[in-house]
Amino acid sequence: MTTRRAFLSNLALGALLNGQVPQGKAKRVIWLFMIGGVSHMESFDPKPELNKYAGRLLGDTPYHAALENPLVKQNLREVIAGLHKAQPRLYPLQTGFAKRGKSGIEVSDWFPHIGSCIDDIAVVRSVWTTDNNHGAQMQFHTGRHVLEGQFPTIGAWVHYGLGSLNENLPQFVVLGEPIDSCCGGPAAHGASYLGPEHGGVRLDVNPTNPLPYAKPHVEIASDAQRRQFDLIHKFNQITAEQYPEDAGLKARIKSYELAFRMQTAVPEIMRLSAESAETQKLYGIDNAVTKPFGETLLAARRMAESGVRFIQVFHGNNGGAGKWDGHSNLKKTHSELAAQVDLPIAGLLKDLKQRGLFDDTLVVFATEFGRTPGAEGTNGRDHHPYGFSVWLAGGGIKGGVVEGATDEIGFHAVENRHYVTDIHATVLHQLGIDARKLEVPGHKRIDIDYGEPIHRIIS
Amino acid sequence: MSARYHLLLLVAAVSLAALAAESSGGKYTAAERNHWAFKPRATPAIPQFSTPTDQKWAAHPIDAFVLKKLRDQGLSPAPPASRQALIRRVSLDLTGLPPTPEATKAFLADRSPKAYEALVDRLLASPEYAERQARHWLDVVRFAESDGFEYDTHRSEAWQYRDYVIRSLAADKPYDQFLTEQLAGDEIDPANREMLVAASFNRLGPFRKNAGNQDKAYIRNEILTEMTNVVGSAFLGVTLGCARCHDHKFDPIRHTDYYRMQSFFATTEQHDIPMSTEAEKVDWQKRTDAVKKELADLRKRLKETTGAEKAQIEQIIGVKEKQLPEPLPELKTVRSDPKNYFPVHVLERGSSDMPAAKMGMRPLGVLLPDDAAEWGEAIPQPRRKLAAWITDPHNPLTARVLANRLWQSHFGAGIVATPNDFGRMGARPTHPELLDWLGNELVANGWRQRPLHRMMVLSNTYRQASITVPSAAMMEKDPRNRFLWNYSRRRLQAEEMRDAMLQSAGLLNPQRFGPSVIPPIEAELVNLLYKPDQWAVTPDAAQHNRRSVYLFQKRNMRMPFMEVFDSPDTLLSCARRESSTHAPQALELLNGPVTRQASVALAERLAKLPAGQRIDKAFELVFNRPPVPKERAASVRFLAANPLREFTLALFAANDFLYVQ
Repeated sequence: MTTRRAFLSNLALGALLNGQVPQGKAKRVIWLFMIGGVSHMESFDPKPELNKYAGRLLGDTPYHAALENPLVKQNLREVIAGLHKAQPRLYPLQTGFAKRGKSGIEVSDWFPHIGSCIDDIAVVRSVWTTDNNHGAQMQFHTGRHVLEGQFPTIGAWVHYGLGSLNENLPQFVVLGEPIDSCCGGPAAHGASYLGPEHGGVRLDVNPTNPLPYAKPHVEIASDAQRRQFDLIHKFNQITAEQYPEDAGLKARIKSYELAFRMQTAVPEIMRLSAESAETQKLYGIDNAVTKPFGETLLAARRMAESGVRFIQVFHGNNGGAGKWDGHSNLKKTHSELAAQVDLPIAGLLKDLKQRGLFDDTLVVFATEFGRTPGAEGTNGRDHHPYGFSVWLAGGGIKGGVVEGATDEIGFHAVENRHYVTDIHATVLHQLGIDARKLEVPGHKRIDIDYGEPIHRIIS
Repeated sequence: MSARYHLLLLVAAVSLAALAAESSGGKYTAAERNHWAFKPRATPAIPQFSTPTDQKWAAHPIDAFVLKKLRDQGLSPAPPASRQALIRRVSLDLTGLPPTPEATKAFLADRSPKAYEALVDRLLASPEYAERQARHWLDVVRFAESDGFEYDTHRSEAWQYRDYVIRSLAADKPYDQFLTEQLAGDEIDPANREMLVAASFNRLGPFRKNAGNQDKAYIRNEILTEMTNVVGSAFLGVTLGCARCHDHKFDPIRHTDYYRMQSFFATTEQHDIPMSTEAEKVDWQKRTDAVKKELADLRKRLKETTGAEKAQIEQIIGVKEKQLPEPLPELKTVRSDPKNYFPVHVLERGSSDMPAAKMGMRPLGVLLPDDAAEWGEAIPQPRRKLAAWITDPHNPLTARVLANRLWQSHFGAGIVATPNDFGRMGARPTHPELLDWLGNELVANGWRQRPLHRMMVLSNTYRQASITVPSAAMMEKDPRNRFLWNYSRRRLQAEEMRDAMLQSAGLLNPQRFGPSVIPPIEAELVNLLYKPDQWAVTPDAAQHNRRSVYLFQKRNMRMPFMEVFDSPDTLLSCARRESSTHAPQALELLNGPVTRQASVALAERLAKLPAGQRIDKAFELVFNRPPVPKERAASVRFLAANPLREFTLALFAANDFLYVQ
């Protein structure tokens, strides 16, 4: 009889089970996640009707049917009923917007730099999720509602399913401060039943101290250290024979192997000073507002270049639900946050292009849900799971296209609706992985776990 | 530093009308009152079994409750652990230190049926027991010895609270008394130093000092928030802090409840008791005045200059400001002064700019009858009265919360997996009857913790082996071992790891109590501090090898070894340590100074032995068992070509050291 853990230990790589080496257009993913919930209407799905009917109750507008739409109930799985309301009084757009690029896709004035790259971007305006609270952060990464438990995240599946491009670096790296424990914590870059060795490795973007203890405390010749690693490995192997099932012990064994190689590889990656002044400027490192996220994205690009498979970048941790959670003062907070990320993200896209990396690097911009078309209090927007925007670029994704649509006020995703796992499926598809072949015995996956690749945005 | 408080500020405004309607006291629905944790503890019947095997295994009520659940799930308990595994496990659990080779030998040789019981009693009576258990409590109360935030000013007398906790646990002080002293020691006896130290509990939270204009109401609000929130997380196991800005979103804790709880602190003020001699004061003043004078001169010059020189002076001022001496030592505690009553108002969105209705003292409404009256606004000894309510044996939360923490310390996870949150968003108890039974036992034993620890570690549940090859059925039914069908192997916590290394290496300095030790640390890290001079390394090197509980806990800089192995951030109450696995941990073990020092010392210790004894001794000291033949062979081969210190380091980095079976 083969138990799950024993099976895992024998499993080389999921995708290789079928004897196939993945042949995707994308080789790696840079996954940008804005914590708290970006307003779709004030970013990538502007809705002028909100200005027209500003201050009016939704019921008094031509769009009154939105509230009675059965999707309101069908889409929603609340942790606690009645917490977040649909917010019926429409709130005008807090910023302007314009048609951008040759494609003329509308992007708000808070994201002018990303807007300037719109012809390389596919905006999916019809994403929906089911949790209307911040458990949706984890849901966006696992595809499952938080009430159903913890599941492997998209990065862990990629790690599990793909071979390594560089044996000296972790293949799944987490940059920026991850989501808080309120909303899933490390589980949003965890591997759950795939085992901890497939989880994301957090690294600090700190050029002066990129990786603590990257060097031995005393001088020791590298061959001597190699021998020491071998001895630890031997001891651990003997223990592992006694506990052949223990994924935790196994993960620690692997962590040593990786650590040995990371000692030289990571400090080199984080040496941002190796980049030209011009490149640094492209990421906004010359400006205090854009510097922190710019450095993070520059490090992400250096990792992508060096073969890291999945780079999960977080923005907006505030020790709670996230900085993007604009319940009040949305105009002030969203505009400030957008200013922190807009230029660096555009810089990343341009930099990938100029280096010839864009075609095989998939960039995803995501958040856990959108925000209500109606006002919360006097100057905010509440959580909105029924329709919001995510965009993808590079890695064989079409540029200058819009997929799906929300209704005129940005309430429901009405056209070509996509649950969050459609984004996962698209990512896996571009990497050449068939999600349905990544089976783990003892863990039945259900249809929504797989999603469907969004073929219309794939070039 | 992550500003966790923002969480509280994110949410919607509360309408004043709703507040007015509720200020009479409030009503709670049956559903709200019927949440399991708010209901009184039951006196559950102890499950009975029909087969002699089950009856024997489940002779103790703990085992009966556990076995019942196992049988309900179609699971069976594991066989007992080996004595070798057991002594390491229970020694680490109770004292935070592995057994010495002598203790292991004695236990293995003791064939008396009471041998294990005697071992447990010896461990429970040891001074190390209190040091270990104190570490758990210090996590819960977010103990640290600096303010946090930019300046992160040190609290040079905070160690007195840590010693108070260790002494209290060593004496097995009843928890109701322990809790009351911490919340209200100053009210019990303001002339008693011990009580004032206990009450410094109210000052443990991070504290932001503002440069520039001081907004008194804002600062007062921050202080009260820290004092109030920890009562919820540490004592009651409810996320009280979530009701600071609005009614709690998940639990029946109203916005008004929060401020009624906060009102118990309305007469509480910071009380800083000088702890320095006259001579020290004079010296401090002299040093301060000297820097201040220099600063005044520089500022004067600054006004008179322009251009490049101006920038230069500004820079010098910046450096000089950091040379101002740290404040003189003070015991930072609290006192209550009814004359200094500072009314508490409901604050819209938790903001001191938006005070609404004034609130009087009253505990959580959901545990009181509907429309329960407030207890008053400036009653004498308010915190003592709050403590009396919390420690009332009928309070449904307090005993359960503590029993659950003790359970977690031995079984890896609590019966409620979220020990600081017994609310609707928290986990449900896996063994609700057992939790109630343990709560009842705690109260029946006069709130003493030792008897509970004792019965837990003596249980058959605790003494199970960790299963090496679980059956597929077990893994399908309960992959996380929530029903305890075997012992969940666990990784050592950061402090256990360091202390065990020091002990094995013969370096551990067993000195107890006293001011915290500042160990040497990499210069690059010290230079990141706002004031690098703060990190004044304790001159006596022997002090650097004391148990981790005596190391200085600085909010803005944890020792890298502690941080990488998941020590708490000390900003919020830490209910449970993470147990992560990642490559940077491997680097820390291989290249970091903690392992390096211990492995060199252990090598020196072994070098004194005849070569033929070194390997076995090393295994006994680090793994607490002799090597198996394969391990011995690998060791012999390695030592033929490599130094002992690299061998000892490999032992400290191996899984058999890092994990408890």
